[in-house]
Amino acid sequence: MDNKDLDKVLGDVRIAYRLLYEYQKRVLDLVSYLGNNLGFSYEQGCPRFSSTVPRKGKRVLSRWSWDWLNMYFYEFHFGTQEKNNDKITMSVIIQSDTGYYDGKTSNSQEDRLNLDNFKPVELSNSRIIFIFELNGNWTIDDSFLKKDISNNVREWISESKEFYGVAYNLSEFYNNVAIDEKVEELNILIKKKLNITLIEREL
Amino acid sequence: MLNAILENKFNLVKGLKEDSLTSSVFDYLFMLPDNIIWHIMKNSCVDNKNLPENVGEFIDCSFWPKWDTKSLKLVTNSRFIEPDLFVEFENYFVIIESKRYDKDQQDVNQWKNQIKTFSHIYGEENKELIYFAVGGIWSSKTENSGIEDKLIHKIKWQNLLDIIIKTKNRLTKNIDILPVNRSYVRILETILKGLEIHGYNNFLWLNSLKRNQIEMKEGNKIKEWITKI
Repeated sequence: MDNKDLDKVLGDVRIAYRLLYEYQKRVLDLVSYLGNNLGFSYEQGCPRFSSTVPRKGKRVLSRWSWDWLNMYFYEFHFGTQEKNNDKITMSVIIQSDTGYYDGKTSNSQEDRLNLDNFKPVELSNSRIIFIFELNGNWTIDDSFLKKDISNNVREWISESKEFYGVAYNLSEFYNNVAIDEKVEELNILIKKKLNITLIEREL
Repeated sequence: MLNAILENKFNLVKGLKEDSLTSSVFDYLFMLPDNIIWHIMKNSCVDNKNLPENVGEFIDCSFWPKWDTKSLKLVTNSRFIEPDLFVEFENYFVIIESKRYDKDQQDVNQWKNQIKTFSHIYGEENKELIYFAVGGIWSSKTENSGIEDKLIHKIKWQNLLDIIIKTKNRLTKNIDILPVNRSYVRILETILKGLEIHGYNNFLWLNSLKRNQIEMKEGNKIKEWITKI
């Protein structure tokens, strides 16, 4: 590759960063809107594909490049709502790219560092995953998310039946009108699966 | 916000709720010219085909008026009813019943009681009633209250915010020709701040992302970009 080719590639890098900025701005607005409309308050978040963005400290340069790209697969954790005698807790996970999960053949962490293991971009998906816990203390851990999170799987329920997860294509949440429709759909689904009404009509 | 404080509806300790939101918006909305007030109200209502083109001059408004219902047998409130806002325009009366969140909080029976009481008190005035349910709704479709065929027009706070932003942008564009627009823009910005502290923001949605120059299949060429040494 000569310098001209490198300049072009670096141009693509600049495009990628600016696109990510615009994309992530909208994802944050989407998650905020969901919290407001479902009546949950945002508490904290964490990346689920890699470690958090390095802050101060030593040995940061040897860490994964993915650590600087947290929203690849990121959990936004909301608090708990009380519904009659039950408590329901929610997380919203942004799965910006199912490529790794669709393509992986093992659970080796190092597979995440080799893009050859990822399914092609045009065959991968971007998703939003809702996870609910009923009457627990929110100890969601990686074991729940070590299940198959590829694009083939749309629904998860824990053995104890206290955790329930459902995935949608992120493209279905394209503006507030579309989001409202999906949320109404989610309300019906949670009522069916957990016997909880997230959005109640006061009579 | 001023009316909320005057009417003891806003407790600085307890924080931001439905009444502080109502006051934050409508205290200032009614300071605007009549045509802008109605433009915002009408266009915030998604299903607005039954709303008039204009309602005439703004005359007066009352926040949380207490309407005596002691002599009324047809309502469930035995002492009084208190709609959030009662507005008189030159050609129409308007009732606004607002709720905190854009989710199911509105109450059909509350609408009915307010309309019945309104008819009892103002029925002989020669002006029709327009009823707005602001916030607390999921469906934006106008529905019939079941009382005298009065319609319930619905507005989501998020839609109100969107229209206020659009109106502000239009007024800003014409500021050089109409300097008075500066005052209106300041009022609208105050309303936007009120909405923002109650959690209603100028959100950006995914469908406003423009397609960038990288074609999807190009993403698989990343490994070709890396020269093996």
